[in-house]
Amino acid sequence: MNHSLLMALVILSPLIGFLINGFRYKRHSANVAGVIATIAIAISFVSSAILVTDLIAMPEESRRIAVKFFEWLVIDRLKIDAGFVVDQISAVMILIITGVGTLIHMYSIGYMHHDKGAAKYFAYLNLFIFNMLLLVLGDSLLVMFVGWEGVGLCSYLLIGFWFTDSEKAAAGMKAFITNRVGDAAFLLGMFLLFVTYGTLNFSELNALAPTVAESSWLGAVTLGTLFLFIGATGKSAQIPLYVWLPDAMAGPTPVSALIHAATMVTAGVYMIVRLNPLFIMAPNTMMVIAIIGAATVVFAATIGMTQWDIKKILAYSTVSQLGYMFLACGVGAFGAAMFHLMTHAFFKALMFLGSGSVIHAMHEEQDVRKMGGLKKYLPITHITFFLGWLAIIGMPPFAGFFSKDEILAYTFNSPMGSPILWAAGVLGATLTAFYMTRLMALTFWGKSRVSKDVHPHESPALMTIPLITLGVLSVIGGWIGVPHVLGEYLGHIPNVWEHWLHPLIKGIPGWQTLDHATEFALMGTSVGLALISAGIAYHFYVKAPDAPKKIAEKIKPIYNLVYNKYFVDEVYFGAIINPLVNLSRNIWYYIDVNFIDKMTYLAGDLARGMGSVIRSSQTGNVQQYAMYIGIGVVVALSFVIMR
Amino acid sequence: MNTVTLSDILLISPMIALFLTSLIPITVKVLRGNREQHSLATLSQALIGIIISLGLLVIFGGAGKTAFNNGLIFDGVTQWLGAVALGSAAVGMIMMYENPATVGKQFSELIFLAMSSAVGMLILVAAVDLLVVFIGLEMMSLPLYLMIAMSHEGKLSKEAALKYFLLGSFASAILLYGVALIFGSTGGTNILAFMGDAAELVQTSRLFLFGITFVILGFCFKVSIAPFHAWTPDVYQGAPTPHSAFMATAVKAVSFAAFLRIIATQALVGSDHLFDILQWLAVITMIVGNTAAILQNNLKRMIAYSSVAHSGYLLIGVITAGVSQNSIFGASSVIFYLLSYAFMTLGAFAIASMMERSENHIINIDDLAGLAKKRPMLSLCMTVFLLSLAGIPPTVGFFGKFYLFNAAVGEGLLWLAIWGVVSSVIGVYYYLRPIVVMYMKEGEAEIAGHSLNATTITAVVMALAIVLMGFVSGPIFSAVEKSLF
Amino acid sequence: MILSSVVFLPLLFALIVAVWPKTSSIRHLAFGFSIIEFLLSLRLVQLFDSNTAGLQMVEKHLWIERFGISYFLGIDGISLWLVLLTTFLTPIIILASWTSISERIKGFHVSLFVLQTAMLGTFLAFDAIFFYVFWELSLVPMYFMIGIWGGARRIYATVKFFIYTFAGSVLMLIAIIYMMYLTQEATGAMSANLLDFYKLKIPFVGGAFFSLQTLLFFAFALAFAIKVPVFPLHTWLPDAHVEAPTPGSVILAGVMLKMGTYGFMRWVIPLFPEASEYWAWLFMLIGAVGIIYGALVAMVQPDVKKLVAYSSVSHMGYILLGLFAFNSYGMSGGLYQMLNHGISTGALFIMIGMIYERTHSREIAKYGGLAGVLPLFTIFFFIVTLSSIALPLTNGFIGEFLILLGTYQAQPVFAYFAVTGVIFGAVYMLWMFKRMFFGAKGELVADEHHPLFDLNFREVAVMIPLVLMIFWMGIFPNHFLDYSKASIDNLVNNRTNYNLTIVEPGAAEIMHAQGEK
Repeated sequence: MNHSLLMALVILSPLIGFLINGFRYKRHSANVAGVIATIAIAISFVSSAILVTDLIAMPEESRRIAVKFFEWLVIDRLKIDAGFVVDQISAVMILIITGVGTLIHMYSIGYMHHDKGAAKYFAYLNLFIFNMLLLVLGDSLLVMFVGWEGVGLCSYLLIGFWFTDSEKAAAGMKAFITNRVGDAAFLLGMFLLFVTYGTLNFSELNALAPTVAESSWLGAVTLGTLFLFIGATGKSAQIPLYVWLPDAMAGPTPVSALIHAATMVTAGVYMIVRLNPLFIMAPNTMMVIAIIGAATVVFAATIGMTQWDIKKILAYSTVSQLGYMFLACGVGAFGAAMFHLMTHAFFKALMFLGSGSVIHAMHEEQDVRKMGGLKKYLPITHITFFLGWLAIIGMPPFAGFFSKDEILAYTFNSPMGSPILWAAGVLGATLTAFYMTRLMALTFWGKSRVSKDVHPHESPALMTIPLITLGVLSVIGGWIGVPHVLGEYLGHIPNVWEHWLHPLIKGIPGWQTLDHATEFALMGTSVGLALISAGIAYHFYVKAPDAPKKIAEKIKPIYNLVYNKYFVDEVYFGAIINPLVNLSRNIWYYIDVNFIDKMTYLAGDLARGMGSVIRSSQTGNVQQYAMYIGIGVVVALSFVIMR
Repeated sequence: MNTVTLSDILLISPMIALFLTSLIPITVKVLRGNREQHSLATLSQALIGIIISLGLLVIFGGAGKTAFNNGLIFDGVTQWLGAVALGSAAVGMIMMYENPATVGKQFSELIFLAMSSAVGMLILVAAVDLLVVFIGLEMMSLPLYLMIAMSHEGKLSKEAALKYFLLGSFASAILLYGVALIFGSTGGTNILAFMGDAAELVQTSRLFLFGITFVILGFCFKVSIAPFHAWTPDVYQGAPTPHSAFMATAVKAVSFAAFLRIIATQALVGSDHLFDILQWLAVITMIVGNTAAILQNNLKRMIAYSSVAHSGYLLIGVITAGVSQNSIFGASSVIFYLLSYAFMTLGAFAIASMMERSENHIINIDDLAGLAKKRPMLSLCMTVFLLSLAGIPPTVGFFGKFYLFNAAVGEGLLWLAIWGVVSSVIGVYYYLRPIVVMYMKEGEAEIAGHSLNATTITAVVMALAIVLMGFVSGPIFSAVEKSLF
Repeated sequence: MILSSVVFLPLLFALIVAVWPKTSSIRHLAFGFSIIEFLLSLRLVQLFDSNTAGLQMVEKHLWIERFGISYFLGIDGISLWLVLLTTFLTPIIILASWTSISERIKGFHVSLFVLQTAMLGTFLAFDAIFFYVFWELSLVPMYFMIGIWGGARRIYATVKFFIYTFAGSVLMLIAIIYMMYLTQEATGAMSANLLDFYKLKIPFVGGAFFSLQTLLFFAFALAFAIKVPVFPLHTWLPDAHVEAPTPGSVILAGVMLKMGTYGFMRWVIPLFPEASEYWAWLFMLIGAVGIIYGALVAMVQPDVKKLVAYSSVSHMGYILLGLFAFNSYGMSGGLYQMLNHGISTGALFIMIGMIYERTHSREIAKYGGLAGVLPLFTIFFFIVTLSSIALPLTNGFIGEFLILLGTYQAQPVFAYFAVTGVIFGAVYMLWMFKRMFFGAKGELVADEHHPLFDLNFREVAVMIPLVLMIFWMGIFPNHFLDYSKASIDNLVNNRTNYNLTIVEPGAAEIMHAQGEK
C-alpha cells in the first residue's frame, strides 16, 4: 500500500475516532464509544504494523519512510512541513503506542462501563493517541512539539476527567502547568538550535551536529540540549518537575496506564534518543541528564516505599523507572534507554491495568491498607501482576531484567558514566524490589483487610485479555535484547535490538567493551540485592506485618520526611506559587490601581486644581477684573520695554 | 482727496443697507403707535437687511479696495469675517426671536440695536485707520451693552451689562491711549501707513512700541485673552443666550479681524519681547480657558470659558501671521478657524437657548440629562458641535485646528502648537461632559417650544454644515487664502 | 473603487439604519448588511496579488490640494488580513449582541457601522491626515458604545478611554504636520502622502533624545503605544473592557487594539528606521514586561472580564516584541498574533457575554462546575482558551512561536523573559477555567430558581466561525501568511530604505506573463 495513505491512516484514524466520539459527547454508552475508539486505534495499529513491516523489508542503510503532507509553516529560513517519518526509532514507538493503546482502549470499555462520560473519555483517549503519534512521527522538533503539547492537553483533560471533584481538576491543571514550564524551555531549545543551525528538522539537525564534543557550558549545543532536556524533565516527570505525575493518578486508571506510564511520559526519552547525535556532543548536558536521572531513580523510589495509595506507589515507581531511562541517555546508552522504555511500557501498563482491576474490584478503594489477600478473588489479575512484579524488580529472564541490566552495565562502563551512578542505579533497583514486593504483599498476599461490605470479584474478559497480553509481553519483551555476554552462553542469541537501532544511534566516544567477568558480577550484584530486598519486604509485609510500623516509629523524622514526599510540593507552593500570587496581587494593587491610575488622576487633578484657582479668581467683582487688566497691561508693558 | 467718490459709497453700501433696514422695525413700531408688529415680521425685515448687506459686501468688496482715504479696506479679511459677523448676527437674531428672555415687547428695539451693532462690526472689520477702528469698536459695543441691559431677565443681565460696559470702557481707553501714542510717534493712525515699517519702528521708537502694545492689549480684552478675559464668563452667563451667541462669534470675529490688521504690520518681527508676551498670553489663555471650563456646571459659562480657550488657539494663528514672511497663511488659518468656530459656537448656544424655557432660567449641564432620548436630533447636533469644538475629525473643528497648527509649525512655532494640542486634550474632557449627560444619564431634559422651530432648524443646519465643511475644508481654505492676496 | 466601497459602505449602512422606520427589523437588516460587507471584503482577497509587496487597488485623489492631502486608499499584505478581521468580526458581533443589546438598537448599529468605517479606513488610508481622520473618528462611536450600553461605571471608563487615546494621538498630529513640512523641504511641494513620507531621510542622532527623528518617532510611538496598549499606558483598557458591553469589548479587543500595533508596522518602523532600531530595546522591554505583567495581574483578577482584559495586555506585549525584532519571524508572528488575538479574545468576550446574560455576574468565585451544566458552552470556551494559551494546532501557537523565535534571533535576552509568558498564560487561563467550570457547582450555577440553559442555535452559530478560524489558522498558517509574506519581507529587508510602489491593476499579471516568456 501507498505509504502516504498508510501514514495518514496511522495518524488520522485516532483523530477521526476522536471526532466521532467528540460529537457524541452526550452519549453514555461505553460500549459503542469504546468500540469506535478501539477500532480507530486498531486501524492505526494495523497500519503501523504494515509500515514497520515495509520498513524491515527495506535495505538497512536506507530504512526510512518519510511522508510529507503539506508545508505547514514556511517563513524565511524556517521551513516546517507537516512531515512524518517512520524509522527504526519511531517504528518502535508507534507499535508501542498503538499496540498498548489498543489494549488499553479495550480494557477501558470494561473499566468505564458505568461512567456517564464514556464518549468523552474515549474521545480524549483517541485524541491522545493522535497527538502521541504526531509527537513520535514528526520529522522536526516543531511537529514533535505539536504532539508534545497535545499529549499534555489530553493528559490534562483525562486527569481532570472527573472534573466535579475540585482536587482532580487541580491535579490536571498542575500537570499542564508543570509541563508548560518544561515546554517553555523546550521552546528556547528549539530557538537556540534554529538560530544556530537554521533548521528544526531532525535528520538535518543530526547531520549538522558538530563532530567534536562541545566542552563549554554556554555553547549552542550544550545550552540547546539542556533546554530540551528541561522540557523532557517536565514531560517525563524528572526532578525537579516530576511533581505532577503522582497527582496525575486522579485520572481514570487506564489513563494512568497509557499516558502516565507507557507512552506520554517517555516522550522526553524519545526526544533525546531522536537527537542523540546532538546530545552526545554536549558532554555537559549528558552529565546533567545522567545525574538527574540517577537522582530521580533513588529519590522517587524512596517515596514509593512509604505510600499507601496503590496508584501513587506505581506513579513513583514510574518516575523512578523513567529515571533509569534518563540515566541511560545520560551515559550515552540510547539504545538501552529505548529498550527500557519498551519493556517498561509493557510491565508498567500491565501493573497499572492490574491496579485498575483491583480498584474496580474493590469499588474504587485505592488504599493498600484496606486490601490484602486479594489473590484468591482476583486470580488472573494476580498472576499477571505477579509477572509484572518479576519484570520490574529485574528478575531474569523477565523483560525488565534485560533492559535494566543493560542500563546498569553501560552506566558502569561508559566513559560518561561512573561507578557512583551505577551504585545509585543499583540502589534504585534494590529499593524498587522492596516497594514493589511491599505492594504485592499488601495487595494480593497475606491476610485480607478488606472491609466486610466490599466483595471483590475478578474483572470481565475485556479487562483481563489486555492484562494477559501485557503479561506475556512482560515476560518475553526483553528477549529481543539479550546482552552479548548472555547470548553467547545461551547459544549465540543475537541482540536484535541493538542491531535494529544501530544505524540511528551514535556510538559512545571512547567506549571499551566490558569483560565478561565484570559484566556477570554487575548483573549478579543487582539481581542479588533485589532478591534480598524483595525477601525483606516479603518478610515485613507478609510474615511480620507489625515490623514496618516499628521501624517507621524508630526513624520517625526521616520516615515523615519521605512519607510527605520530602515536602517538595509544600516548598513549591511556599517558595514559588504563593509568593507569585501575592506579588501579582500587590503589583495590581500598588502599581496599576494605586500608581499608574493615580498618576492619571493626578494629571486630571492638576487641571482641576488650576481650574479652581482660576475660578476662585473669578469673584464677579468688577474692580478686581479691572485690576487683572491693569496688572496684565503693566506686566506686559514692563516686559516689552526690557529690550 | 477728501471727496467722497461713488466707489466709496458702493463699498460702504453694506453698512448703509444694514443701517437703513435696521430702521424699518422701529419706524413701523412708531407708525403703529408704539405697538409691536408681529415679531416674525421684524425678524424677516432684519434678515432681509442682512442678506442684502451680505450680498453687497460680496459684490463690491475685493482685494485691495479701499474707501474713504484708506480709512476702510474691503479685502478678503473684510469679506470673510464680515460675512461671519453678519451670519452670526442673523443666527443670533433668529435665536432672539424664540428665546423667552428676548422676544416680546421691545423686540423691534432689540433688533435695531443688534443691527446697529452689526454696522459697527462691519466698520471694524473693514477699518484700517486706528481711529476708524476705535469708532467701529464703540459702534459695535455700545448697542451691545444696551441689548444686554434691556433683557427681560432680572439682575444677572443688568449686572452683566454694567460689567461689560465698565470693563469695555477701560479697555477702550487703553486702546485709545495706544492709538494716541502711535499717532504721536508716527504722525498718523493709518495702519497701511506703517505697514511693514512697524518692525523697524518698534526698535527705533519706544513710543511706537508702547502704542502698539496698548492697542494689542486692547484687542486682547475684546477677544478675551487671559488675563483680560475675566468679564467673559460673567457676561456670557448673565446675558440672554442669543446675545452671548452673538458676542461670542461676531464680536470675536471682527475683533480678530482688526487684530490681524495690526499684527500684519509686522510689529512682532521687530520686538522679540512683544512676540514672547503674545506667545505667553496664548499659552496662558489656552490653559486658563480649558482648565476653568472643566469645573463649570453652568452650560453657558462652560461655553464661555471654551471661547476663551479658543481665543488662545486663535492667538497662535495671529502670532503666526505676525511673524510670518507669508502672513497670509496664518491669517487664513485664523479666518478659517473663526468661520468654523462661529458655526459650532452658535450651534451650542442655540441648543442652550432652546433649553431656556423661561426667563431667568439657568441651565446647568446636568439639565441636559436624558435629552438624547427625548430629542435625538438635537442631541446629535449638540454632539457634533461639542466634538467639533473639541477638534475631533472629521468635523470642521478638527480642520480649523489643523490649519492653525500647520501654520504655526510652518513658522517654527512648534512649541505653541504642542501647547495647543495638549490643552485641547483638557478641552476634550469638558466637551465630553454634556455628551455624557445627554446620552448616558437618565433624566428629564426639557426643551421649550415645538420640535420644529427656527432655532432647531438653525441648529440642524449648523451641524450639517460642520460635518460637510469638514470634507470640503480644503477648497474653503484655499478660497480664503486666495482672497487675501 | 473596491476599496472605497469597502471603507464607506458601512457608513451608507449606518445612514440606512439611522432612517430605517421599523425597530423590530433593524437587527436583521444590520446583520444582512454586515454579511454583504464581509463578502465584499472577501473579493479583496480574490483580487489581491500576493506576489508583490507593492500597494494594490490604489485609489488616489487630491483632497486638500493646498497641503497635498489626498484621499488615498491602498492595500498591501499588512492591511489585508486586518481588513478581513474587521469585516469578519462585525456580523459575528451583531449576531452575538442579538439579545444583549435591547435598548437603543438603532443607535447601537449606527455606531457599529460608523466604527467599522473608521477602522477600515485606518487600515487602508495611506495619507497621513486621511489616516488621522479615521484614527480619531474611531474614538467617537466606541465612546458611545461603552458609555451608553456599558456597565455600572461606564461613564468613568468611557471618558478614561477617550481621553487616554485622544491624549496619545495629539502629538502624532503635530508630528504629521512636521513631516508634511519635511516633504515640502525635500520635494518642494507639501504632501501628507505616506509614500512621500517614506522617502524622507530624517536625520538621526543616536544619543540625543532631542533630535528630529527621535522626537518624531516618539510622537508617533506614543499614540500607537497607548492604543495597543503597552505597559505602563494600559490602565484604560481593563476599565474600558469591563464596562463595555460585549460587542464593544469584542471590537475593542478584536480590532481597535490592532490599530496601535498596525501603526507601529505601517508608520513607526518604516518611517523612523534608525530611531526604531536604536530604541528597539525599549519597546522590546515594555513588550516583555507587558507580557509578564499582564499575565500576573490577570491571574489575580476576581472578575473574568477583567482577567481577559489583562490577558490582552499580555498578548499585545507579544506583538510589540515581535514587531521590534525586525525579522520576518517576529513581524509575521506579530501580524499573525494580531489576527489571533482578534479572534480568540473576541471569542472570549463573546462567551463571557453569553454567560453574563444568563447569570448577570462576572465574578469568578460565584461560578464553578459549569462544565457539568453547560457542556456545549464549556467545549467552545475550552477551545478558545486553548487558542489563548497558544496550544499548537490553534492559531495562537503560530503567532507566539514566530514572535518568540524572532525575538530570540534578535535579542535572546527578551525571549528568555517573554517565554515565561507561555507558562503564565496557561496559569491564569486554566486557573480561571478550573474555578469557573470545574469543581462543585458555585452559587450561581446551583441556583435552582435560575436554571442555566446551554447555548442556543444562534449562539452556536456565533461561535462556529470563530472556532473554525482558530483551527484553520492553526493548521494551515501558510494560507494566511503567504499573502503577507512579500510585504513583510519588503519591510524587513528594506527597513532603512523603505518604499512602497503602487501596483497598477493588471501590472502584476503582465509582469508574470513577461517573466514566463
